[in-house]
Amino acid sequence: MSRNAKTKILIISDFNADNFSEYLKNDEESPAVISNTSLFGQTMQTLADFSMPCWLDSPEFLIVWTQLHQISSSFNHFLIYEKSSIDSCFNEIDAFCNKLAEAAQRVTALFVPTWTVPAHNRGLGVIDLKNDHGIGNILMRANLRLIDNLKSTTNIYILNAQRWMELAGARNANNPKLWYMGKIAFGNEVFREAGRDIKSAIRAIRGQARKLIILDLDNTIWGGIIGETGKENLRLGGHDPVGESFVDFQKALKALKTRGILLAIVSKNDENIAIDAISSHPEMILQLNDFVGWRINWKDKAENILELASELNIGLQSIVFIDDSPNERSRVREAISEVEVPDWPEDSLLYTKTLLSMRCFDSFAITEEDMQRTKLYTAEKERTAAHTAGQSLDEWLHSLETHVIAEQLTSINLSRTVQLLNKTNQMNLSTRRMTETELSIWAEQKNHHLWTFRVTDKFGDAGLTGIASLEIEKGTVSIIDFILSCRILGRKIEQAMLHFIINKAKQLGGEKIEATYIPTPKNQVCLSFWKESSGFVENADSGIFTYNNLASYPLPASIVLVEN
Amino acid sequence: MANITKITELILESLKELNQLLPPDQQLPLSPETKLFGSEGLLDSLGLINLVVILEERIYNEFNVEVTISGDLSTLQQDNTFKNIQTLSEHITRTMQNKTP
Repeated sequence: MSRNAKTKILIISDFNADNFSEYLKNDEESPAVISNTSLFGQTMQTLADFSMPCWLDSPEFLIVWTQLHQISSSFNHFLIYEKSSIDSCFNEIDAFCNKLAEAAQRVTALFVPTWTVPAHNRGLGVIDLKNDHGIGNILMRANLRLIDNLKSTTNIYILNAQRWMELAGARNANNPKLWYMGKIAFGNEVFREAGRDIKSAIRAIRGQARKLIILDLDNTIWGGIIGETGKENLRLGGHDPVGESFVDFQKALKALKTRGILLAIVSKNDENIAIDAISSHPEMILQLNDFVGWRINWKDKAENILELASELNIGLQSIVFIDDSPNERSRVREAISEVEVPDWPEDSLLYTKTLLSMRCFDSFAITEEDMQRTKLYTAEKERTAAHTAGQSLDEWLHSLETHVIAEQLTSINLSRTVQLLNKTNQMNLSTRRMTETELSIWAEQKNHHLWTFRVTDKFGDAGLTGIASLEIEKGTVSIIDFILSCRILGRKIEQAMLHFIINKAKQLGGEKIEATYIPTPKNQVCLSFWKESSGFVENADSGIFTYNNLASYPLPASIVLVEN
Repeated sequence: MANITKITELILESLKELNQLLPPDQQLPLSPETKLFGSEGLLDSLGLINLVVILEERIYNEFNVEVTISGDLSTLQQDNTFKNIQTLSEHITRTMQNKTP
């Protein structure tokens, strides 16, 4: 898909979704969308018949937004307090979910909002949740049934529509006038929130989630200016609403870090004073080892951010910058357009709410590597620091005691593999982007082979950080994916991977092996490797690198290679 | 207190919000001369429904008064209430004045 191509979305609903479709199209947030609605009120028919006109445009994403009483006639009975069977309701939900699973095979991802009932419908009142036939009771169980049925289908995402209703407010969530006059089930604020969540989900699926928050210090993670007040007079914790709000903000940041988001500091301060406060203030939640880096000095913050990004080898498009100062935010926005700089409230009591409502960290999976990400970056700093003056590169690499563990694609490593496939830009030969379903199907084909590579050394486990895949056609082995996390570039892991896959190519009967470099604005590093370090010969016209002699490709002496 | 100037302002704000629901080439000019519905109008029936609901909500938020434009929509279509912004402003102002005790 070209960079400027719009994303095609099909909306199937049992209400008039034209308003929702227009919001999606007109909303300026990425991605730009072309959305199409099926004839409303024909949900099951549209899911069953892929020859219907709405499918002919080959949508990339599908949204199926229904109301439970349209899917389940049993629920209709419950709504009017007639006797009905929850099992019948579940059977109808199961049938609906089966149709969704079939439809999901035709698209990159399918989004299913949960079912809701207007807030003004109190059902059985005080016993509505306690009674098994209460509307609220059945609605919750129906949604749980929906989630349980669909959660194992990797490209189906169930979205919490109840949150949209709450954000829109009771008056705006369900407007009876819109329903009776236009068969529009929800207010426009609901559609706005839904559109934002769906676009965020698409960005997450495409590997565009942000992964580093760079924070100011004064009046951002604590109240006050430490250089003026000293650490004793900072507003942090204690019986003070402002102090309490900063503690909660730090807790929310720490929770994001636990989820895999990195934290760093860029602050105009005396570094010693700031570090002392972080290390010794009794109410600090965030500690030094929660941060993967910092620039605390009096330099321009944009300059500091660029330096930090370079040190951490993180793309600018992965960064969010949070600062209480409108001037600093404006400066960074103008200087580095790729960095996300959210508008920030003046009142610290709103900081945590603002942070938690941000969508830019949405990810389609949370893996073990995510949970360890800060430790991985810290270990990388220790590795680099261990490189002593006068030590040659080879001596240093030997000292790391690096092990590379190769493993085929499995259901256990699939999530992490797809995450790495979709978010790696620099060392990426073909920059394919695929969902878990798409990659599984590709890897299962007889002439396709894919291996993952996990790297450990004496400083720790860097995790699953490499992917290589092959396609074999009549004696020619083509390297399709050659991917390595930027964290471990330049340690001859690349050559270890080539050693492994060339051996595999020989075992599979290959006579020659080639790799086609597909240029992007971000993978020059990959081209440099293939030109200068791979040992392959380049055909400059075609961009194909060839290795004709499959006799041997040396394994770097500093690496122990193991196959699981 | 509702006056025609304020009502006109609310209608224009409602049109701005309505434009978020319309393709770029069908968005309405934010001008008192904009023709809304009818033979020369720019809105289709869905656009009219959306405008009415948005406008009723803005009137409620501004004056804390429920004004029902939508209840007699078919009548309003026939008597040119939605012909342009001026006719709509006059109708709403009259309706609100009738509501004031």
